[in-house]
Amino acid sequence: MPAWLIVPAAIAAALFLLPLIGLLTAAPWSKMWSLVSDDATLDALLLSLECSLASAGLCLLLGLPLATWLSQGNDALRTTVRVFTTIPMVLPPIVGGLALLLVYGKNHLIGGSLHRWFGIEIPFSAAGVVLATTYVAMPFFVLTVEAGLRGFDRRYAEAAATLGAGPWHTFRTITLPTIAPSVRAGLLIAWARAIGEFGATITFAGSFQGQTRTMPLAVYHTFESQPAAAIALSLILLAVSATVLFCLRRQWFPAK
Amino acid sequence: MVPREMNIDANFTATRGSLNLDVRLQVGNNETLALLGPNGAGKSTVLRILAGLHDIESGQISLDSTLVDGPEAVFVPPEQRNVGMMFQDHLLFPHLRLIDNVAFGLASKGIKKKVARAVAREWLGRINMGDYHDARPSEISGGQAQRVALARALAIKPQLLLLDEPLAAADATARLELRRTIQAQLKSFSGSCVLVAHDIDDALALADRIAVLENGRIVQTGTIDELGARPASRYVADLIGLNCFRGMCSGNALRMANGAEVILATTHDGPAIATVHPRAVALFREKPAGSPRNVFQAPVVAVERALDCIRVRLGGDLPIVAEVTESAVGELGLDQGGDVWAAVKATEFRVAPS
Repeated sequence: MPAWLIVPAAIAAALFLLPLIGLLTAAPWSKMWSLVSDDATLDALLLSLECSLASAGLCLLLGLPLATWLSQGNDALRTTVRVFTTIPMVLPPIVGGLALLLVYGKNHLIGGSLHRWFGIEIPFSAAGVVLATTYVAMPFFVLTVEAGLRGFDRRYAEAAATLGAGPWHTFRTITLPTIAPSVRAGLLIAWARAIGEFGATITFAGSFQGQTRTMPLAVYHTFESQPAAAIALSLILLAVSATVLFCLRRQWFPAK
Repeated sequence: MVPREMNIDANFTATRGSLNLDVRLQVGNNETLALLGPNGAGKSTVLRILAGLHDIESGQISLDSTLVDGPEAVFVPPEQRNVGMMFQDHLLFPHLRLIDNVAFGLASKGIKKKVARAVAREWLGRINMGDYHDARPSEISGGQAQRVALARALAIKPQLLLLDEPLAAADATARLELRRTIQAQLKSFSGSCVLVAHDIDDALALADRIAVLENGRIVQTGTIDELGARPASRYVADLIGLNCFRGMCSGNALRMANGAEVILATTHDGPAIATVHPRAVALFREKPAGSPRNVFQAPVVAVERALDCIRVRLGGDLPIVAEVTESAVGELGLDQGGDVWAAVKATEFRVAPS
């Protein structure tokens, strides 16, 4: 690496480091424990973990098949679907939340029928939080896994076929284990995106303590009345996320 | 020749890129057919078609008198064909241990993991890889990996075994051992085998018959002798234009059924095939002095003028073809027939066990 590259590299690193230092220096360390053990904080933290995990689970359940299908070709239909899939990545999340309301809202397309026939209301519920975060996070999962699948050497699947393995058996025992690193990376990115989700969630699910108020929403809510507490909440969210990332890093991305 | 029951009967057309294939081939039980041909002739594609990995456009393929590929909707997918395939670069599954690689086929067919592993263990022992059950494919050499790939293909007891340039990935020293292993396994294999051979030596060592594929078409099929007797193309002539001697080797002497002997530069034991290029056969009117180990007198049977050389066919106990220049024909008076002296250095022979 050319020596001078260290300068822009250091600036980039500082870009990420400085806000952390800002949070750490402004944090009300003396009041930290009382804030952490506060019911509202615990509710928000628990809800955030639950919803982001559910979101990651949905990515695996629905996103993996979608990524697999997308990786099979480059025809017009797949290209179109791929564009739709990536829209949430460029859309302001608040617009995404609005769009979700226009589909799942009580008086709209699917939401109307769900409400009429089953009495189900997705907006402004925990399910709504999961839907909103999944909407925003799944594109990251799909793109990561699709790239992994495209890098998969199809000839291994052919070898498996000549050995008597049907498509499902081959997918399960050969394809998936081979692309497992991509799936893990995709899950991690999607989960990270989900736990920090704000815009789509507040628009689509609202901010009700214990029901839809996740950590980012709690930070926003607290910031108006008690800025210092908001900083503390931010640090808690940061600590939890960083710990999870750090722990998974060892298990999921072992040093080669 | 006694007509034998044909296990594979294929007659199809297909395309791969700009190449149009039009192939007819039959292989019997217990028989190995070698596909030889220039690069890009479509040899690997023929194997892929037989395995069901590449579509045909017309025609049909039957395997053990069951139609597996044919007109309209008849298509048996690869996983239901009972065809074992060994790929050019082994394609062992990198995330599985060797034992699970070999057991994979049996496990796919619904056999209990414990049983499949026991069979796999047996196979690894048979190919001298018994100490490597738990190794990963990345931890063994290319030649070893090819042997495991062979065991993996054979473990499912296929009716048809396809070997795509099985020796290509192995280095020179591993090649011999790999070839011996394949030879031994083919001997005890009761199905049919089609292999893509890299060169004539491999084809002779492993196959009963040779099919020469050029530009998507099979130009000739037969034993080495049949091909050599009437080569269908320049490629075949070059390929098979070699002199070929089959016999029993003992020390550095190869003794033919008629008692004639050639002396080789290396020592071998057991049945072997020695080949020598006609260019390496020198002709003289008088007995030559000097060092060639193989010097014998033989009658000129024919003088054939090919495109860029002249081939002189000698009869006698050691029928051999020599390639000479036009001026040599005049100098040696070859056109008048009669006996000439032929000399071949021992080092010019290539030897393969048969």
